[in-house]
Amino acid sequence: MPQLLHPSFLRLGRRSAAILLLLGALGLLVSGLARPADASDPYVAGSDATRVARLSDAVAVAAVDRAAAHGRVLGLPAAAKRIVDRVVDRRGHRTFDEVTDLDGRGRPVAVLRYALDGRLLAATRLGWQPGTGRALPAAADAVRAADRLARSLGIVPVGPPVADSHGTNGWSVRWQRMVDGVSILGDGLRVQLWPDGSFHGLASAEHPLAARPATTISSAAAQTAVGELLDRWVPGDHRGDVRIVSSSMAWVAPNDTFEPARPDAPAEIRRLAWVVSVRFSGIPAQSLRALEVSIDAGDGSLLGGDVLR
Amino acid sequence: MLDASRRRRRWRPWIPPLLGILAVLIGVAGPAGAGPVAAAYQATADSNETAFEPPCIGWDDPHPERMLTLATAGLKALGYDARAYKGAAFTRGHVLNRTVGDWSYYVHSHGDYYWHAGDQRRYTGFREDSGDCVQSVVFSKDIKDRRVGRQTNLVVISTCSGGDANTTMPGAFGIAKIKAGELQWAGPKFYVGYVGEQFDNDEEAFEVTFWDALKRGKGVGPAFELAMLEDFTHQFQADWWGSYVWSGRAGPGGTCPNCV
Repeated sequence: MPQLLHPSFLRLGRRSAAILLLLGALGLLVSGLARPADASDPYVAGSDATRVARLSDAVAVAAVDRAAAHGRVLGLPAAAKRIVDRVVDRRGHRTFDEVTDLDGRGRPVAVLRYALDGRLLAATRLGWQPGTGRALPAAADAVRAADRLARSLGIVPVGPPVADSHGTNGWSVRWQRMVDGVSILGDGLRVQLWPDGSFHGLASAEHPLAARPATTISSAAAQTAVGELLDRWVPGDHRGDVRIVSSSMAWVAPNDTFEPARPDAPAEIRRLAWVVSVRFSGIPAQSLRALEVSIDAGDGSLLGGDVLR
Repeated sequence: MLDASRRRRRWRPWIPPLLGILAVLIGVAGPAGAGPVAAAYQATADSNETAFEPPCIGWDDPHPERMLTLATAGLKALGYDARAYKGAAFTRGHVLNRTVGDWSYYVHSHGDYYWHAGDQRRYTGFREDSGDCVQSVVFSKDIKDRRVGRQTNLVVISTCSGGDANTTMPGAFGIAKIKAGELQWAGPKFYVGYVGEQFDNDEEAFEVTFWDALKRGKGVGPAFELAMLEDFTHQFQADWWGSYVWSGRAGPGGTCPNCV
């Protein structure tokens, strides 16, 4: 490095300066610093899912204050220091500020994520903390505890809750977001509790919705469309092992499950669809258990779906 | 002749700084956030693709290939010498041959708690690809017999039932089903599996964040926690065993940063 301070280095000719500029630009390209810092470039699997930039104390102060207040409400360990990163989630089409609480020895103890408008998007207490209190005996107790936690943060759960026991990992209580009685898949509020009801994690999501179609096709029409797809997709000798079991209307993220040429990331804007559930049996079920096929509720086109191996 | 020699002299002072800049650029081009490792720690990533494309089924499902890409990139970022296998290259024989040298293993396939006729009992397992539509099961017992206690680092079983309470897969890789929390240390090892039946979109959402958090240096436990915060479309469950505070980086070392 001292060679960089050689007097002759400081007397740059035009050609030498140009070479240095070129090398510098190459360096920026290689290190990725020249990449755009927004989510406008499409995510491709294998590339970085997030772009992360550390925020200065001055910029981070609002997020730090929010995290301190929420940490007290949630009973998180006292943080000796907080660091804040701005995270561009390229696959999830969102940007958030991620606050990491550090203890006195610099160890991370909690993570809280905020939308740029200050809404709490997610929080998790790090570590294996199954708690020492009496385990919540039933789902109703888990719902009450999760509801209390959410309200203490100023979040009012909406709709019917569903509580799942996760054994020693505690409980997961979920409120599905709905519009006019129709679920928005992936949206809503989810609270993770340790077995004794103490706070483990929280995540909320609310995606934009496309305009509701003026008219919608019937469930039977959607099932007929899926039946025709199955006729094409399932080899004839196994077609009898594959049956449609139900269909329900939901807002879904269009994706590439059945059309790989589409983008790797699911679309940000949810569309109204008939989600047709298909179950496999016999030999085909040795590799494929079920499908969910999403049919546009307006025009009957294929929006995507999901696979259960 | 004189001119040429003068030209050489004029360039000479530039050579060391230019070499320095070149060295810096080469350094920057290395794996971001992971850093190189001195030894090669073999890792295998397998994905069952053939069962989910023609002629086995009538469309080309992109999940198996994409999740293989994610896993391979994630493992490489952690310093593993990771190789990806699919199609005819991902057979039961291949898994059992490679596992002897694997420090880390990833698989995405159909999985279950399969009946083993020979032993008259069930083991956790998954289907090979084999490049055709008839696919054998790789039982945890097969892997365990080949590894005979060999040390493992990171194992991600991206199948149904790999994270069930009764799963036999962690033991095949020498990972006891214990959760060593922030003040404990079970060695540089971590096992992740899904509980019950899980859809691919949820598994992929989990894995994108899991690998990304590991690349960001969060460590295996926090990476698992952050992955669990994704927007799942079904009731999603995953589980883990091993050392929560481990970095995930390849090799026999690693320490418990919280234990001292």
